[in-house]
Amino acid sequence: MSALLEVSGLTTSFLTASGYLPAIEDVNFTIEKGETLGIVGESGCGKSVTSLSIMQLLSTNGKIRDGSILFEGKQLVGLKDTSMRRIRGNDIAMIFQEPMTSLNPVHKIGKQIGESLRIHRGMNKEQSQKKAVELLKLVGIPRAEDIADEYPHRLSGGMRQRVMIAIAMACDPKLLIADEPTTALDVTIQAQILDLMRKLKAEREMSVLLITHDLGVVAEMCDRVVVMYAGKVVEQGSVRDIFRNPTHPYTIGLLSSIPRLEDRKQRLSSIPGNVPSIELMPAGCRFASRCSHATQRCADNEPSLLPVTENHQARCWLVDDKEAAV
Amino acid sequence: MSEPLLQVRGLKKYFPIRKGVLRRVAGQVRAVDGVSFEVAAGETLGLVGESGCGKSTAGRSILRLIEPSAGQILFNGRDIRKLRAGQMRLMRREMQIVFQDPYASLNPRYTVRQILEEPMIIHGLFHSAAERKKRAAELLETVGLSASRMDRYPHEFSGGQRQRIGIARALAVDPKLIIADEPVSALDVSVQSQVLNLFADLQKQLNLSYVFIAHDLSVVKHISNRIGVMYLGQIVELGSSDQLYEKPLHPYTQALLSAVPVPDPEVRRERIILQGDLPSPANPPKGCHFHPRCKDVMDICRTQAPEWKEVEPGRFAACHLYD
Repeated sequence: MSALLEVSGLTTSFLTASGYLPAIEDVNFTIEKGETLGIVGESGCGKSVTSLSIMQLLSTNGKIRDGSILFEGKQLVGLKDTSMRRIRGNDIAMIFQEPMTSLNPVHKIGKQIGESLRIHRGMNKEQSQKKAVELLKLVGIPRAEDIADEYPHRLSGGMRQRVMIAIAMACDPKLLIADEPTTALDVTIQAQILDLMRKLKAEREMSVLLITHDLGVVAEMCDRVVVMYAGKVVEQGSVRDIFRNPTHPYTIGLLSSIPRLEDRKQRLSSIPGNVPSIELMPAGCRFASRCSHATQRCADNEPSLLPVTENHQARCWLVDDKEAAV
Repeated sequence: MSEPLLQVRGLKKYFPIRKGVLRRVAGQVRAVDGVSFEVAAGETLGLVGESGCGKSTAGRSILRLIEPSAGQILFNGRDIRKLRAGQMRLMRREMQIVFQDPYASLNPRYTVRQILEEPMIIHGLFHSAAERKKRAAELLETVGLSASRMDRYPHEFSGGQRQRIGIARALAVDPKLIIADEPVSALDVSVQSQVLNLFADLQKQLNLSYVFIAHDLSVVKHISNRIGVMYLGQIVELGSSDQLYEKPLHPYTQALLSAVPVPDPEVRRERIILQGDLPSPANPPKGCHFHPRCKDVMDICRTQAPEWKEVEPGRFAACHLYD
């Protein structure tokens, strides 16, 4: 079976004062039908740029410089705006982090949900309004008829995120991209939204690309995980691989720096130093300066994604050494 | 036992809602509605709760950065609400605050050295510029930054480093108490753990007391000796952090704990999903404020507010389940 989405060699650069600088480089991953793939990493690692590249919603100074994005076998890179518009909001839908700013404040909720139905499904005003109310019910909004007739400022953050999900669900997308969908929400509301996303995904056999910095959310939602650091994929594998057998020192560091509820009070481990800036990327491994296992080889040469097991790869020379030792 | 460093009794902060041309007071937002707790020397008290529960307002009211509406705040046995402005300024040498946003809480036009020296100048701590500079350098080293960078501006530092500068500024006047208002929530996890460790180290070295305000339960649990859980302006449960985690008493604490995603794909926790949103603190529900969302709601909860009482030694809760 071919994958629903296949991203290979994706490099997206932004025009800055010092020319085009790559925010992400050589990003590869696939999403199967009905699968939830998580992309995790810290601020600036390129996880959002990856999702915006797939949607081709990059700001004007951003450009896909290399690579391919195949959706159902169809090449999205270089696609004309009009053709991309037919896919966006229809086959691929997206929900954003900020439920406060991603809704239009001057249009009523029902109209905003109905917009993609009028564009992609050719519905008229009445039909789309009726469907909008159904969608609001689907995402668990009480008094759906009344809410459809309200403006976004009347709703709480959690309710607005439900509306965003309703908009995304309108055309029954095959792929839902969720970029930090619960980061702005309180934990009890986050639990509601994650529960809703899980339910919708199961009902509709939808694939989900979940972008988050929260490893707890990843553990709960995802089948497979891609870990990004400084614009590159450093490790990918099943959720079990990543949490049980993390291999890249960055993944290991990330997992051990989270305070856990069940732990007795003790010192947290942390990763020393900071992420290198985009202008001063080291030639070798980008994590070398913060890594306790770094050798001269790491400073000189960047490793490629090396296989740990069949479906688990890490961008680290340690994997190579282990193999050589066996 | 010696007297606690900080005692807060019945702290209230109401914000008036004004309406109409005459700006008549039409109602009150009860941001903090009767909060009481104590903090011993060298202790960390965590305050957790969701947005709008009043945890930050409580923190700022303790320093009188916003004037409380009612209640007592005793610091070393002295009621600081009775102090005049000048006396209060002296008092603030003992109690400092670290803010959430390391991007907004440092003056972008000051060098790090100026930022650190400003509180020393205000409090008249050192008489010569050389002494102040020496102290600024010491402070930077204390928080794990190189003193050679003290003539740089805040924008030249990363988020985690800026938060270290914010902490150094709070330490500049040798306080006994630091109110930390969401000090790590703007930081990435790997940096967050560095800053949490710094808080723990400083506490040991300097015997500081913290009131640590955050929405992230795992962070608060990690750093605190005791935790108060806030909901709609009130503390609904208070206890040692281990007790609170092992056996939460209040149904809200139970729901809050169960909602935290576990960073382990093989652990499935029984989850209590709360229905609905947080009610408005301008118009809180009658009886127990939590009753419309509570899974254990009883008839009495709808009409009568529960009393704040000691359920087990050292553990307090306001819930009719423990009547």
